[in-house]
Amino acid sequence: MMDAQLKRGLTEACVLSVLDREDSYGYKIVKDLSEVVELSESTLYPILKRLEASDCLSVYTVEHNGRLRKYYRITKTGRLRIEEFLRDWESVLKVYTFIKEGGGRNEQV
Amino acid sequence: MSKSEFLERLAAELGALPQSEAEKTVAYYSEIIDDRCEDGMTEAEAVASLEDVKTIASRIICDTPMQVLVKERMRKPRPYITPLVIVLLIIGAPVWLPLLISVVSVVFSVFIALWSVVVSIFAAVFSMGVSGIAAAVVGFASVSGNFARGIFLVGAGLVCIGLAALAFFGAAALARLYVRLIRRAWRGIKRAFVKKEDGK
Repeated sequence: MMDAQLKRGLTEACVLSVLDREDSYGYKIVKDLSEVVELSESTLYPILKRLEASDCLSVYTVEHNGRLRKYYRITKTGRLRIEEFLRDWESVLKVYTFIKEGGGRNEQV
Repeated sequence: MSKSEFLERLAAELGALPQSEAEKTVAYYSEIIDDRCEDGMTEAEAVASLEDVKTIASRIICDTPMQVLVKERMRKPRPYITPLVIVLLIIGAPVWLPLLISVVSVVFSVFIALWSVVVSIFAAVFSMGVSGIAAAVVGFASVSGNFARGIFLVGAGLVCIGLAALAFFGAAALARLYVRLIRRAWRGIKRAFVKKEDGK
């Protein structure tokens, strides 16, 4: 089982990445992400709230079929967050390859 | 469960949140259900595919900063009679009972004092009227005996009657004013009480 903190970070980055392609709304975000991460609308909601609170996305309302739909748009801060995420994971990836290839073990034997 | 039923329950479970937050959450789930319906689900299916209300609500409440919850808790009125309140009332009786009694008696005596002014004015008016009439009658009767005294008495009596008639209107106006004031005070008390109970 993935660490909750880690999963949250990943999901946030996924949501931002979806929004980086185009503005989207709750239901669609979940659908678009369904293949990548396990995500329900209920778990998405706090993430959206957090991202909004940290200025990573902005919200606007659009009328759709006689009701209101909230659309989310990524902000500059949000884009920076994605970049930061990718940078962080590059270093994680280095560690990953190191571990995968057996690290310093070969030299020791 | 229907959509409205689901949303109502959700709103009820989110009572600890500030109203605007609760409304946002309800709007979010309303949108999700509508979107699922648009995608081909029936309303009941859409609601059933979501988690149950309690799980959703507790997750959102856990995700809300503590200070927001505390603030909201402080803002909302507590139920009037909690066990703590009852205990405090009983323990505090020696303090609050005499205070209450003295407040009530002060209010009552002010009330009585105000009304006694009205009553005494009316009594004065009444006695002036009666003595005026009596003086006029006696004056008339004694005109034949002592003319000057008779006329004086009649005149004095008429003056008294006139003053009484004028003073009567004044006293009546004062009484009406009191009644109005009391009504207004009562309304004020009631309003303060309702406001306290609503707490909003």
